Parts: sequence; structure tokens; C-alpha cells
Amino acid sequence: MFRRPRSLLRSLEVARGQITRSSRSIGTLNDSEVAKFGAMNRDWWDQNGQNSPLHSLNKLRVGYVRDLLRKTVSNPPPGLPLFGKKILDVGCGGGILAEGLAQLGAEVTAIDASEELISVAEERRKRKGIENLTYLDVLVEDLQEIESRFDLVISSEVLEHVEEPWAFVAYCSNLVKKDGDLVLTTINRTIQSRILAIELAERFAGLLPRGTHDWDKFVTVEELIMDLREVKFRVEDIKGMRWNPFTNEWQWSNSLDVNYLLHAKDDKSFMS
Amino acid sequence: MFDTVCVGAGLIGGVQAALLRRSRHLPRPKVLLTDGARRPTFKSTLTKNIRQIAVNPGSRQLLQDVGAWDKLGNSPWAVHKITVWDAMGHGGLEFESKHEENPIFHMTEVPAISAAGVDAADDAGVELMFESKLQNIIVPNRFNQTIQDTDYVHFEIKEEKYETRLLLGCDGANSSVRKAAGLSSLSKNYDQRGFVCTVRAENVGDNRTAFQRFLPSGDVIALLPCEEDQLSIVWSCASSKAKMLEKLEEADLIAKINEVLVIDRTPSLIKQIHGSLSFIPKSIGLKTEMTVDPPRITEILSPTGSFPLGSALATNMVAPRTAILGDAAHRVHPFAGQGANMGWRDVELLTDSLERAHLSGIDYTSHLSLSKYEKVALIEHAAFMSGLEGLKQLYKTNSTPFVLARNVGTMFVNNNSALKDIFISRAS
Repeated sequence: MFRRPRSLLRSLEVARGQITRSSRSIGTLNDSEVAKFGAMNRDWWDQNGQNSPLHSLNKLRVGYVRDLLRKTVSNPPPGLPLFGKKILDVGCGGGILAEGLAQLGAEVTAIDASEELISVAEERRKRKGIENLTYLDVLVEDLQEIESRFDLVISSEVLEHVEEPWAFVAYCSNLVKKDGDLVLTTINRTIQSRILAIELAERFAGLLPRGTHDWDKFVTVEELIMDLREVKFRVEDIKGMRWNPFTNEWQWSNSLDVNYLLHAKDDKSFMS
Repeated sequence: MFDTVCVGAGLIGGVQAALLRRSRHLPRPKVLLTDGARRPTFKSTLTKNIRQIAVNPGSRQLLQDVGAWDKLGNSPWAVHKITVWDAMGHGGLEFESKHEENPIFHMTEVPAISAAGVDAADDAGVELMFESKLQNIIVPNRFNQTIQDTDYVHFEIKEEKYETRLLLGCDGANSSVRKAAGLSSLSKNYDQRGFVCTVRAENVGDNRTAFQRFLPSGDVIALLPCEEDQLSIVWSCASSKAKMLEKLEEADLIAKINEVLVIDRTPSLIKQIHGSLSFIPKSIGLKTEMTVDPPRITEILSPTGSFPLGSALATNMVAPRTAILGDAAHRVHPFAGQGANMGWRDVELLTDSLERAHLSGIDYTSHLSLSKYEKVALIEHAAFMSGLEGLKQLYKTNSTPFVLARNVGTMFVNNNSALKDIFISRAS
């Protein structure tokens, strides 16, 4: 699959044929995961539906990015604290996070392996007339050849679904500008996450569709730090996140046992 | 397509529209302010408008922030003291502002504030449409939200079709927005009315003191200063009595008002208790009685009128892409002078929720954003209204033990400045 919207040509300076969707399934994602989320496209934007935790999670993840980057934006227009910042959202799904970042003024490129979800997201984007947002149905490895790099690369609630986390992290990190930021949110592989995210949320309470998560794929904080060290990224911040199913609200937490956010910076100049 | 449409250019509509445009945290939304009536003007047609309201310091700050307050010039009348006293017994409360420049509230005319709000909205770049009623309002179906949630509100003005991401009902007790959104209406209660008129009075000093008296019949009469020698009177009473008052000749009405300001119906038992036991609180330095020298009414300056009273709070203040504010969502007994202030509080709470949602990467016109407003507004208003209701019930009764209890209670409150500060801050 290969798309070239005009805005993409402008913003990513891509020459014809440089971005191609890898046809092999041995990349960072396998096809059944893609199909699973693609099938959710109709409900993706229902704030009270299956994705309600993803909507409310914006408060933490968009808030984090906003506070991280706002100091570097001088005199932003009202309501657009991320004005002009180039952000890549890897694994954007229906675009809940990508739209949230775009509404604060950032130039967002959002990619997802699912063609269905990208088309839902693109339809919404057109309907809402959001111009500073570009959707592409490609994998992160397919972007490696492009020349532009991003002020911030974010991948939220994706790492726990990919096949080779270390490769995924490496691909993401490679797209970060010098001195740029990488933000990842995911689920820790602990006994607590097994109980909360799988047994309680999926099996018992039915808060998430069954099979949303595969516990064995979850990435521990230690593994993620090691993966980042491999690509010479320095971890700046790790924060736990806690979801209250009764109020559907997220809060920062001291515990990294279930959901956590990790912020890392390019460290190459520092280490050499 | 508008980002927000504010329906109703009364006390809160213009302020809400201006605030959204001026917000530093929203991306300059495209806002429309519309009303079925003509654009309000500062000069009211009556020589003396009978509709006067109290603007508390929190509301004044809001009006200042949106650029409406300065347009009122010198017309708001600052009130520095409130005297509340009981026609039965010796209890009473006096609230005084600590600093000359921070009055407890300002009295202002309703049309002037509405006009100032509209002008402020105009300055802020809000589009205005007057003498235009919204028709065929279609609010998205709340049970059909799974469809890509890009359903917005559709409506027509003069047969032209419009669309908005957010519709705000600032259109008062008979809100058309509330009806269109299918939100339940407030319960009706017609057995109490507030009788209003503006009068000239003597014995008012510099006329910076508001008076409020609880009468044996359960009525409350409030005298609110609005110029050197003028008072706005709000007498809340049974509907039949309000109608009767409206029909009185000027001389009879003046006599009636002056009478209720001075009558003393203290039960004899309480007089005895006061006479024999008041040395106890006095010995520890408490003031046991308040001598109130109320104004004397000399002339009725305005036509008289009355409006229905009763308190009610909506159970829902939001629907998909829609919210209601002010009188569309609640009604309070006017003796606390809080009706309009609660409306402006809604403006603040709503704007704050919208800003927070936007900065959190959430569509500020979506349910996640509006439901926060509903939650905070309902909690705050319910707490405030139950407090008022309690106070009202306390003064409704004539039985001696209750009268005694409130005499003793108010004596303690009146002697305790810390407690009084709490009352004032709650009302601000």
C-alpha cells in the first residue's frame, strides 16, 4: 500500500517511491494484531465506548508532551502551545492522540499499520478540517529513508503489541531530531498487570475487548531502558499512570507496576 | 460552521461569548451571540429600571476580565455593609467590608449589564445576530455517538442553515436550547413571588448599607441601595400578597413597607429570657442586641411588579455538543441576591472545563469536556442551594424555641468575625 497525499510531499520532503509499506510480515508488527484493531474502527471515537480509557488518557500524555515542549515554543498563538513543533505519532490507531496534539498547534504526522483505521482517521480529519495533521498507513520501519526528523516521536499504548520491541524502539529513536525527545507509554510485564489488564479488565469486567492484550508481549521498564541504551538514548523520566475505571480518569502514580510513561533523549553526543 | 453559539444576550450570554474569544487557552474560537430580542442598550426606557441585581466581587472580576465592567462607568453602586435582622427577637447580623475599595457587592441595572456584555463580546470579535430566533435546532442523538463523533448541532436562523460544534443556552428560565436538547425543565413553583419596586428614602446616611429583614409571616424584605437616596426593594412573599401589594396606592404601599421595617413581634417569653439572662453573654463581652435604624420610604419611583420565586436545579446541564447556563439551569430564592452571580459562576466553570479539555488534547466541545462542567457546577450549586434552603426554613418558623435558637445563634455569629468572614466569602 502506498499513499502520497500532497501535504505529505510538502512536510516530509519525500521523493516518489521512497516510502513503501513493507509487504513482509516479519517487521515490527504481525498481521493478526493489525486486523484485530482494524476491526474496531467503527467504535474508535466513541468516548463512552471501548476506547474510553484512551480518550481520557490524553489528559496525561498530551499534557506531558505539552509541558515538555511548551518552553521551546516562543510566543505561541492562544490555545496553541505546541505551535509549529514537528511530532510523529507511531501507531496512531484512529487518531485520538494525534488529533489531541494537532489541536494544540503541532505539525503532526501519524502512522498506523491498519489501513482501515487510517481511513477512519483521515475521514475525520477532512470532516473537521484539521490541516496540520498527516495520516499514513505505513510501519515505522518504512519511514527510515525519509530525510526529515521530528522534534518529538511518541508511541502510546503500542509497544505492548509489537513483535520485536527492541527493533521498534530503534526505528522510533532513529526518527528523533538531534536533542529531540522520545516518549513511550506502555504496560509493564508484572503480576499486577496480569491481574489488572488481562484478568480483571478483559475477562472479568469486560472493560476491554477480550484479546486486546497479550501479557507475554508486555515490556518491562528494565527491558525498555536496555533497548534505549542500545540506541544511545538517555532516559530522562519514568512515571507510573493509574486508571480509575469508575470515573474513567487517569492519574500519575508512583507505581510503575502497570501503565507507565517513559521519556528519553538522544544521548549520542553526550556519550561519545 | 461556528465553534460556539451562545443563545441569549442577557446577563451571561455576552460575557460567555467574550470570555471564549479572549481565552488564552482556546484557539480563538469562532463565536456567535444571538438573541430573539433587539440589542440591549444602556439607556433603559423606564426612568428608573426596577430590575436591579447585586454583583459580588467574584462576578465583578469576571466582568472586568472580559472588558464589560468598565463600560458601566460610575453607575454600579457600591454597598459596604449588610444588616440582617429579625422581626422576632434581638438576633441580627452585620457584615461589613474591611476595605473601602472592596465593597461587599455592587448594585447595577440589568439592561446596563446586558448591554455591557454585548459590547464586550463585540470588542472581542464575536459575531452578533439580534432579532433572530434559532429554529429547528437539532442536537446530536446521545444514543448514536458511536458514529465518528463528528455530528454537530444544526439550526436555522431566518431560514438559513447553520452548524456549530457547541451550543450554549444562556437563554433564561424558558430556555429554547434546553428544550431542543431534551433536558428536563425546572420544577414550577408559583406559590411565592418577589415583589419589586424602586423607592426614594430618607435616613439612609451615605446609602452604602443593604438591609434585609425576616418578618413573622416568613416573608423576607430586602432594601438594596442603588443611588444616593434610592433603594431597590425586593419583598418575597406569598403570591396572593405580592398581587395585593402591586395593587396598593402609593401612600398605602409606603406605609406598609415602613411598617414592616419597624414592627417588633418578639414573643413575650423571649423578651423575658432576654431581660433576665442577657447579662451572661454580656459578661463575656458579647453584644446581645442590635439596634437597627432602618431607612424610611418617602416616594415610589418606579412601577411595581413581581416575579415568581422558588428554587430549582436542573438534573442535567449538558447534552451532546450542548450546555445550559444560568437561569436555564437553576433558580434561587433572591434573598441572597445570588441568581445572576450563580450564572456568572457557570460561565467561569464552563470556560475552565473547556480550557482544561483543550489543553489535555480533548475536543473541548465533546462529552468528556462538557461532563466535567456539569459535574462541578451541579455539586457547587447543590451545596449552595441547600444552605440557602436551610436558612429559609430556619426563618420561616414562628415557634418560640426556634426563634430563641436563631437569636442565640445569630448573636454568636455576629460576635465572631472569623465566622462572618466565612459567610461573606461563601457569598462572593
